Amino acid sequence: MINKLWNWLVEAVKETLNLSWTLVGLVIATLTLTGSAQQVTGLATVITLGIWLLTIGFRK
Amino acid sequence: MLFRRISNYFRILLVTVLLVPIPVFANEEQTTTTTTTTTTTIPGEVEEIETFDGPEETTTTTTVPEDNTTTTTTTTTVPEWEQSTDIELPEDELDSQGNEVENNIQIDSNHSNGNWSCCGMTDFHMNLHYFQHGNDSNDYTFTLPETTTVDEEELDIDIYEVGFRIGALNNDGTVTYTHTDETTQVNVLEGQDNTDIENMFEDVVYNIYDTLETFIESFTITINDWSLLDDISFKYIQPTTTTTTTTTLPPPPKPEPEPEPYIPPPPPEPEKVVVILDNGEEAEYEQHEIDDGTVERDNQRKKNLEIYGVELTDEQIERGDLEQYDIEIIEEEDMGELGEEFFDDVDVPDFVEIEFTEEELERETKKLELEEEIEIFIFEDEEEIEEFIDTVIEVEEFLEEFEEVEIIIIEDIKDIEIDLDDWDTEFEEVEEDELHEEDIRRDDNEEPKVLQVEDTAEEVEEILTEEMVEQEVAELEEVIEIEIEEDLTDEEVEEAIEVYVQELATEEVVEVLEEVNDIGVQNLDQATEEVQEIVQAVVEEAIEEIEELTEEQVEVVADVLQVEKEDVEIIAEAVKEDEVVAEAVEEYVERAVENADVENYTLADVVTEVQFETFLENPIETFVDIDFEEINIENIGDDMTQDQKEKAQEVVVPVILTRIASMAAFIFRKTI
Repeated sequence: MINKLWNWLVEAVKETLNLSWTLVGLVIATLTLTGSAQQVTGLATVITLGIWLLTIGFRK
Repeated sequence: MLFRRISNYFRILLVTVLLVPIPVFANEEQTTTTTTTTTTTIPGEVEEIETFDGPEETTTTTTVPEDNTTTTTTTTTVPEWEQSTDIELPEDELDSQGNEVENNIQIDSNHSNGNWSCCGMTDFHMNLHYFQHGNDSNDYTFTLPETTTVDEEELDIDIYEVGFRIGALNNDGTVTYTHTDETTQVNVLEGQDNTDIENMFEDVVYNIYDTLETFIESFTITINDWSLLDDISFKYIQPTTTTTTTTTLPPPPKPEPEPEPYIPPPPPEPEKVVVILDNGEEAEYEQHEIDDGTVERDNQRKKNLEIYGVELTDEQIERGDLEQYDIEIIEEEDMGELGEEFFDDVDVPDFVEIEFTEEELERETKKLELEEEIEIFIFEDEEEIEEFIDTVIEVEEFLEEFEEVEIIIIEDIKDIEIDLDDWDTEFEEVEEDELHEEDIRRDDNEEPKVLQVEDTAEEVEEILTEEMVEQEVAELEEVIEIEIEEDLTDEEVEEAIEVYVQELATEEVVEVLEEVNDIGVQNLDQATEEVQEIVQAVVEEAIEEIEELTEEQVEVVADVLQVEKEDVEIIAEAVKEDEVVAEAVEEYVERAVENADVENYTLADVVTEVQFETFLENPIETFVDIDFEEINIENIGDDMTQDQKEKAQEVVVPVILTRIASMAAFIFRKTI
């Protein structure tokens, strides 16, 4: 179990690194926005990233 | 022994002689004594006391007999405080609406006998530092009168003594007396013991009659405790007319007649000699004038007047004085070049005598140049020729000027900003100059050549901008009327600015912003830091008071923030709810000045900067601090300004496109 979790963590870091340029763009976009739009964008980014990382195995 | 006795007797005799008065007979000759008596009526000392007490309480009883009954009506007049002297009393500061900023001064009778019996006050008196105890000190200045009216005549007075009664003073204060020679004297007002309230007062008297050669102009009481003041007195000598009584004086002895001064006999008139000058005129000269060469010089002057038109001697001409009269001597060699005909045809003296004006000279020169043309054209008379030449000169002048005219081609007519205030003036200035230019263009029917249009336009724009900015900054500083002392700390300056801006009326706020718009926020780096801070505070004030502004005024605010008019309201709302936007508005002017070289720097840029800084400080919070209640999918983005949306689009769209492109590239690579 610990081994699986460790492997997932390594994969998650790898995936996140793959997404670095996209994430930089989204962060900048979030910082450019204000009000509710900013909150929605920020939330959507975090949720999507979470889903993306959680579904690594499924997508493979 | 005998000698000693005799000596003693003589001594005693001498003492006795000295003791006995012996009348001395003076010269008792009858003399006339002269007595001069000048009596100056010195007016008495005048003392005026300001008691603040109005008219005394009066009771009027009216009895009206009606048949057999009598009706009595009693009316009591309640006294009011009233000044009995011309002292200028201190008054509370008023705000722009005419309301007292602080109620520091109050005149009433609450503490006098019959009420609280406090502090030696009688009837009406003054409350200074009203209802305040031990806070910051305040100055209360009493300006003494400079004149008094005597027999309907206003006369200057010199006050040498001032007094007043001050009571209920718990803490030490000071009183500063200002003299007419601008010197001052500061005395301490000691805090009073409050164990005996009835006697809790001090009678202060300041008299400089014997000590100083000046007078008292005003006095300022500086205290930090609620105190009572009454019976302000001042003394002066009332100026009056001076009466002089003079007894009959005997005539003064006649002075000895002065010897008549010696008047030397007049010298004999010099003999005049008649001399015939070179031009045949006869003139009278004295012998010494002939000897010293005056006659010779006069001959030279007459000759040179005929030749050059100026009365100069040969020596003066040799040293070059003719240049002062714009006359040039042509050397003989040059004359040879001109040809001998010149000498035959032209009478030089006549030529010199004709004085041409500049215009005439120019016309004559042009006439020579246009000799051929004049021969071709047919002119009725000399006037027509002159008119023709004048026209040619005028056209040539215009063309010369026209080469210097810089033409700016405006691509989009909408870009032209017309300052309606300056329209009339500018129009009038241009009108006269351009009017004949247009006329000439009509006759010409040709378009002028345009040289280096773009370069010239850019140069002109830069020069004008710098000049205009300097001028506008000066105008802005004129509009901002605030005096900040140099020795104030930064906090005190900020406080002073805050107070100043809060006191500004809405119109004044807009006026400042209009001036800022004329300059451009980013050009405020040429203004002082204080001015920048004031503008910043004014911007914040305008955003806070957005509901009170008219549409035009909102437009002015929008121009300052470089956003759309509709966005100002959104910003005003966002400031209340979003800390980042509030901070951005607070720092807008400062950051705009710092980014003066950034084109199109707006509030949206400041918001992004502030958000980025906040993100760096606390990255997680930026994404996690979400208020779900505020999120409404239907009107998402409505709380963003148009400018902010555009800026966001500039970022978001490329991010999405880049992501799509990278995914496509990845799929394409995998397929291969």
